Formats: sequence, C-alpha cells, structure tokens
Amino acid sequence: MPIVEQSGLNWAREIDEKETEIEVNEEGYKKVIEYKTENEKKYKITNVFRVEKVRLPKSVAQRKEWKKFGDSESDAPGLNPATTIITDEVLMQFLTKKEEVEKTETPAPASVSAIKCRLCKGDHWSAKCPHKDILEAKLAAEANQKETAASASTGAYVPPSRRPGANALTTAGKKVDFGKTLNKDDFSVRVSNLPEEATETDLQELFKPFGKVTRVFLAKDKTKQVSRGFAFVTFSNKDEAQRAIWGVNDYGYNHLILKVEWSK
Amino acid sequence: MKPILLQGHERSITQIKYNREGDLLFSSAKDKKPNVWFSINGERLGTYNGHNGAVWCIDIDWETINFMSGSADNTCKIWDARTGQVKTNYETKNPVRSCGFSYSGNLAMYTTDSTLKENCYIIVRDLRLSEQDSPVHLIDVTGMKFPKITSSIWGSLEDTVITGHETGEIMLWDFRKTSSEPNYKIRPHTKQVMDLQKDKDSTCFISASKDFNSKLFDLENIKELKCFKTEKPVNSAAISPIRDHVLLGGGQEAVDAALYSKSGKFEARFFHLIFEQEFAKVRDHFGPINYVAFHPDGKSYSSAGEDGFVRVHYLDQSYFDFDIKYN
Repeated sequence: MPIVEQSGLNWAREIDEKETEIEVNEEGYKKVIEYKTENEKKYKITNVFRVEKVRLPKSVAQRKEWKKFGDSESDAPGLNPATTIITDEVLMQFLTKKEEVEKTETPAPASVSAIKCRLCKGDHWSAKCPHKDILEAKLAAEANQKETAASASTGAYVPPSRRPGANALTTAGKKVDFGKTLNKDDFSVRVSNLPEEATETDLQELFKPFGKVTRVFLAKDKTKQVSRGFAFVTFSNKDEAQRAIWGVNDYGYNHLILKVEWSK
Repeated sequence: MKPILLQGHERSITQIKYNREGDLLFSSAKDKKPNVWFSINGERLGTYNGHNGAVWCIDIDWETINFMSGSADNTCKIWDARTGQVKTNYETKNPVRSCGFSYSGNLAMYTTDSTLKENCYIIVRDLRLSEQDSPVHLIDVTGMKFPKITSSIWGSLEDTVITGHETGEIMLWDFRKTSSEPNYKIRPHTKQVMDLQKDKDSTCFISASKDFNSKLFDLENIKELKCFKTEKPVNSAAISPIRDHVLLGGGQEAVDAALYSKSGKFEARFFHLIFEQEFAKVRDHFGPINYVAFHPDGKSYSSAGEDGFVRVHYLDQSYFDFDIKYN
C-alpha cells in the first residue's frame, strides 16, 4: 500500500513554515524535515515518505480533487488523526494446514490400543489389572531396594535433583514437556545466505520436496521489501526438517551457497 | 497488514459500500450522518448531514454522482455525492430498511419496514421524474402476507429485484409481469436474512443469515448453489472479485449473549467459494461485524462493526500466495 503524505501536523507548519525542508532522493523517498517550537523547546520532526506514481482512471483522479464537505469541511488536506488511525499489525490466520495436521494425527493414537497397563503391560487400565495387588507390591519393593542401594553405596552427598527417585521423575517430566514444545517450533530450520530477490514462494518451492512446509518466514527490509538474506522454514515433523537440512545445506542457489541449520 | 481504522461514527455501523472504481468508501451507521472516505488512505472526504434518525442502508450509483441513503426517520434521500447536498427527498410512512440503485443509476429501489399501522413496500422511483410523481413500481409485500423485507438488491439488469425477509425467505420479483406475485420464492434460511450481495459480474449473489449460514444463489432463478456454515450468526457476506473466495462477517449481538454457550468475537472469515471450506480468518474487531465489503480490485476489503469502527484491510502477499491444494 502506498504511503500517502500525512499532514496532520499542519498546525506545526503554520508556526514555522519557512523552516520546512524537503529532500527527494533517487529511490523515490521524500524526506520532510519540519521544525517547531513548543514550550520554548525546538523540535525537529523528520518524516520519510515513499513517493509512488499510480495510473488512475480519469474519474478517480478527478474525485481526488473534490473539496471536503459536511463535518470534514474544515479538515486540512491529508489525514485527520481524529477520524483516521493506522492500527497495529493484524495477521491473517490460515487454517487448513493446521487443521489437516490435527485431523490426520489425532485419530491415530486413539484407534489402536492406546490403553496400556503400567504393571503388566496388558491392554487394559492399570487400575483394572488382574495382577494388580501382587505386581504393585513387587514394583514398590524393587524401587525401594534400588533407592536405598544407590544412596548407601556412595555415602557422599547427593543433591535432591540427582537422587534416583527424583531423577526418574524429572526426566519423565522433561520428556513430556519437550514433546509438547516440539510440536510447534522445533521443526524450523534457518536458511541463510539467500539472494536478495528470493521470495517466500521460491522458498516454498525449494523446500517442498522434503515434506510439508507449514510456515515460511522471510526477513525483509522494511522500506525496500526485499529479502535480508535469511529465512525460517517450519516443517510439520522432525524427519522432514532434518532431510531438508541435509538436502539444501551447501546447495548452490542463484550463485550463492545456502546455509541451512536448525533454528535456535 | 495494518488496517486503517475509520472513526467517523458514534454508533454501530449498518452498511459500507465501495463505489465502482473503489476509490471511495461510503459508510452509514445508527447515528444520523453517512460518511464517505478515500479508501486508499482512510481520509474522510465528507459527511452527508440531513437525516434525523438511524441510517439503515446506503448505495452509490455507477458513476459516483448520486448517493442514496434510507433512514429510520421515514425518508429516503438522494444526495449529490460530491457536495453532500440533498437532491431528492422521498417521504415514506415507515423506516427505510434497504435500498439500491439500478445498473443505469436512473432507478432507485427502496423497501420500508412493516409496522402495526403500515405495510412493508417495495418502491421503485425514477430519478428523472420529480419527487411528487408516483413511484414506477409499488409492491405491497405485507398485503400479500409476506414477512417484512430486511435486505434487497437489484437482480439482472433493471427488471428484477431480490429481497431477503425476516423469517429467512428470499424472493425474486419481476417488474415485467403484470401480476405482482414474486417469480420465485424460497426459504433457504430459518432466520432473518441480514445481507445480500452480488458478485462482480452479477451472475450470482450471496446471502447472510442469523441462522449461522451463508448461501450462494444463481441471480436469475435464485437456485441455491453453495452453503457456508459457521457457528455464529452471519451478518454480512461478500464475494471476492478476483478469486474464488467468500468473506463472511458476523457474531452474536450482546442481547443474545446468554442464548449461546460459545462467546467471543467473530472474525472476518474467508471461505473457498467452491469447496465451501474455511481457510483463513482475521480477528480484529471488538464485537460483531455488521458489514463486510470487498474492494472492486479484490486486493483489500473493509469490515464494519457494532463497535462503530470501519477497518480497511490491505491484504498481505501471503493471502495472494495461498491456494488450497486440490489433490
């Protein structure tokens, strides 16, 4: 969207109209420097605009010259901050890809023997295990024995986090957490040394053979809208991401050698 | 994308419409002044001051010369779009609920609400005649025991009008016929039809209803083609002029909050026109969305909400890159 010149600061202009400087550089950027004095302090306001030439139908061009009327009659040309506000970034959320992943992955574990007894490894709940009484007692005794043996054998101080019982708990806990976070972010790879003219669609094409690309983020220059040379590509699972790293790392792309690694 | 927030109204928005080229965006609200904005940067061009009640409907003609608004103050006004002066003032006996210019811009159609005393009418006026002349067409809808009209559009050319009704009926009226019975009458929705919008080439139109559905119809014979299902009341639906996409906006009113278990805001939802599948959403309005409109070039859209704001969205590149996989 072209940035249209704002002149919401027209009151400032009235005070120091002479001191406004306008520079236009070759890339089509217009720099407007204004000076204003407020509370005996002098402020310098620099606004940079991108100047864009657009071909318009004649009728539209004519309408641009229309005078403001009604409640806007007294508004100066340009935006009136009282009626028009540029808001924060809002993202369009695409649904299909995510939903597809959920749909295909969720029913799988539910279908085949998701239930597993902790005691006898049978196909039923632990609470309903027929050998419950015997096995539970046995397991508890074993665990106790191990613990006492471990602590007794060294005799040295063992921090609580290193003690056998605690250790088992924490690792298990960690594993679970790790699995959860993995679902989202950890299948992304960082691609660097990209050519300036690379686009998101190029990256999609490049990584498509390795698996399902769920997200592509290409870092772009704010004003020029060209690639800054790196991007993040997210895959739906780890194997695909790993394959992409093996496949595309050191790959020659448009006279540049791409570097692909796990994103951190 | 960074939406442009247009803050010109004091109450909830009722309708927004782009003109043919899309450089101007018109908006009306339950306050008394319709607004017009430059869609490119959100600059307000002016307000049309003169109504004395909520403005329910607006329309702009093909050449952006005349602007029409129908209001709860029992008038339908034709304005000079450029200066904001009233050209013609049609008095009615009831609030004007929906209105529209014909393709040529010479005929103005508007419908009135039904009340205990007065009937719901479809009225068509010729702008080339004077204010006092009788309407070109006048159909007494209540007299035929039909529920009141809540939305309407012109059908093909200048011969037909399509109306959406309070209890979910959609009817097509042909003015060439001598009898005033509707040509086609269907009941695709179970609740009020909130909005009807045509596609770019006037071959089909889309309806939005409080029964959570939005449906696509053939413009000639109002045959149902597609159905887009949501879980919230749909207040407005628009068809993209460049892609096979449909945009829905809606949400439950604060009054109905206790009736449904799910609460929260309604996003602007994008559906695929052919697969009837939702593929994207944009959530930014606070409260339900009352009206959505696509820019005629298909690269931006605007939504207007119960919160009284109009938001102009210039779609990101990711939207244009996106495509549903066919296999």
